[in-house]
Amino acid sequence: MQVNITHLRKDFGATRAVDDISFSFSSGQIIGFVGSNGAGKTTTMRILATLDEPTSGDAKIDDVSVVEVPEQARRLIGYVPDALPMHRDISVHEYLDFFARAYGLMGTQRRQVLESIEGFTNLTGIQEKNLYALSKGMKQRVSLARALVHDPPVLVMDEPAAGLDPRARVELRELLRVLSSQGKAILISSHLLTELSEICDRAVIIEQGRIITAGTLQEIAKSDIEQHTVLIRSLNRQDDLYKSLLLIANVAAVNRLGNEIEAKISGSEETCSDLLENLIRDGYRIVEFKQQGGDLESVFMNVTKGEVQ
Amino acid sequence: MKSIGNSLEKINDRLNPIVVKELRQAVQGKFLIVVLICFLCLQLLTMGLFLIVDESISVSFDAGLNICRALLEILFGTCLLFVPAYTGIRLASERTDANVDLLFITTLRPRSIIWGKFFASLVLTVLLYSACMPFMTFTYLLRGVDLPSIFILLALVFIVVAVGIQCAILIGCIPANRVFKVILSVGWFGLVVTIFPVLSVIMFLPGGLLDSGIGSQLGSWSFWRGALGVLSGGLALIGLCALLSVALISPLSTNRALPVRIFVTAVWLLTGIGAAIWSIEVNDLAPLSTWGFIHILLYSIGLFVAVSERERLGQRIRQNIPRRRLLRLLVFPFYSGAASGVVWASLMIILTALPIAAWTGIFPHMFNHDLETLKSLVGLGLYAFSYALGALLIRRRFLADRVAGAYTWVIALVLFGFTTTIIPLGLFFISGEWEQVWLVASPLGLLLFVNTNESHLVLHSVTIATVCAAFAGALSLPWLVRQLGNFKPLEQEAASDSQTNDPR
Repeated sequence: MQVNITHLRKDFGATRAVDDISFSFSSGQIIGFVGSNGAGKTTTMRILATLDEPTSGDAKIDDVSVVEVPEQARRLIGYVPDALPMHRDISVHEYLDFFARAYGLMGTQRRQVLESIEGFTNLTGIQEKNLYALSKGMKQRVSLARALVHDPPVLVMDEPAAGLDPRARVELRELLRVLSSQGKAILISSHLLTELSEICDRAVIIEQGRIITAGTLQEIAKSDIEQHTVLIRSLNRQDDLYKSLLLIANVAAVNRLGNEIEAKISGSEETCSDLLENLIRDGYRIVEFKQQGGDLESVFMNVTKGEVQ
Repeated sequence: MKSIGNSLEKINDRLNPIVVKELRQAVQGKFLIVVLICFLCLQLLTMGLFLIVDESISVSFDAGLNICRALLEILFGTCLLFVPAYTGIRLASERTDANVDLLFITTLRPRSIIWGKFFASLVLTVLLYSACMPFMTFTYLLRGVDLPSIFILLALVFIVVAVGIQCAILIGCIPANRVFKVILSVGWFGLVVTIFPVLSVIMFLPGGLLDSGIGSQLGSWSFWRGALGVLSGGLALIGLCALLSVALISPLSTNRALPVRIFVTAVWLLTGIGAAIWSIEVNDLAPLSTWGFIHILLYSIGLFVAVSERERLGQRIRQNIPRRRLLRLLVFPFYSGAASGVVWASLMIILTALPIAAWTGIFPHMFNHDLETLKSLVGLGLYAFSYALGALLIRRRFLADRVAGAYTWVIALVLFGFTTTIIPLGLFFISGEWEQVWLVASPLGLLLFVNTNESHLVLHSVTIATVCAAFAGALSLPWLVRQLGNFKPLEQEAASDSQTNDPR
């Protein structure tokens, strides 16, 4: 199953929320969708979930267009919105049963599916509890279970880890790994970039409605970073090292971090290598020269400017 | 036993999921239980008080009638106030943008959702009815009231409540912010408070339907004609509100206007034929002109809604636009979009006024009629056209960056308020005395002049409306032509774009 998003654009009056976004992902992949608040993540996801219509462009799940045949597309997509289910006077089981019925599951099949989903998302013990009274983490599980009721091949998850405690986040991560191994294509947005980088195969970074960069984390780090952050520790002449670095043309900024010095170096990896060689030649006893970055958070900070529409 | 179980299982599977969910929530919630208990207590108290306090009960033959009257009032009030409010409030809370899961992300069709909500509310009404039935039976035993009267009035109450429920569903579906929803709720409450005593007087109070002994009229055609009229009117209102509700929760990408416009056009035709037959039967134009007034009022509101629709159609709608030019022109009024809406509503106003004008022209001596009614109908339509297109022009020319297209109706309302209140009040304060002529540029003034038989003022008002409509129409014509030109299928637009971009 292949999801292709092509030249997607969405205008809200004079504001362009999504501007010519194109990317694709397929079964078994987890794609991190990263961007600042107002970057256009939720709008893109809502379009994919058929809740909004794009101004132009399309998104297709294999050959099923979310614009032309949203009813068919909804069968293929499980959407976890950023808002948690807050309905009163309904138990977890009844809530899930409603969705199973809405997706046309009947009789024994419906009962089996619900049993299996409740077991998978660890809701079995609380299925008779009132939905409204659940904790945030539990509601997030219910939301995921709801998205899985009709066994969709594509999962679109908008900030599923927001507000979760560390244990719930770890459990969510494990669930996503299992779902990915079952062959589901997963698009997930989150501000918890460290967590996201641990589970994502690829990432798409957007800002002001446009894709800044996309690919595997390694590809992104190599292709777009013009500045390297390096941690340097010397056994001697720490103060001199700090002053020397300030005078070097390629070094954009220098910070003291305890007994280490953080230097932002403009240029390629060769520039970093040359710097290390020069420092050793100048008599500094360097014991640590560690390049930072490569993780999603660093990449994100480097490639975005924090601008919103 | 197993086959019964299987059948029940099948029925359970076939039930509308919204009905199942709504009833589960109603049963688990406190609201329904509280209302039901209060309702039962109130009935018990009413009946007890009647039996204890009313001394004439042992000698009078009206005891059953009096108690029945009171019980019907309680039932009507409870059903009309609580069931629609409960349904509307619940739907409005599920309809918010942040709460998309129940209404928008399943494969349930919008019409299943709306009919599901409606049916679930009817079940709640039946529940309240069932709580009332034992008391009603008791009133029959106390004499003074016949069973057909009780059943017919219960059916009448049921129709009114069903219309109320569907109206509440429509209000709940309106995508509005909290302030607007509060205004709508207050408006709804005001409407209920107004309707309740009026209908109570007609149905239950002394001299009303209950006293008339409906049971004895079951054999007469006039009774069944009235009953059919009420039933069809109720069904038409329910159908209209349901289709409007479906349109409001349907995706923007669909042609949401089509079912509503087909339904309204069909109702227009059927009620028009009915009104014409009635006019011939009573030799009076009143039924036909009432039909005209209701429809022109409806399309005038339709014009305000139409100018607030979006001007650019989505990809999905444009894929379904016919390729043949003539067919495209014919179906244009039945598509979503501001221009289509304006064309459809204007056409319907013309088509409503024309037959009445033609009829009064062809058969001038056939009916008792006065031309002022016709003029007022035409004038109302022209005023609505002027306000709507005037608002569209103002927004497009001067407020395009400040006011979203969806709020064009607010500008139209401001224009209406300006000509109806600000100008006359201004003239009143300047001159120090009130003259009717100051309302000459207002539809309300037009209605006032018709009622007070001020023929010359009616003519002036209609003339002003005609000039305004011609002015607004002429200024909007380029926009309308452009919109009509843009109304073509996606492939054709892509082809014409590629031709334009071709350097050769």
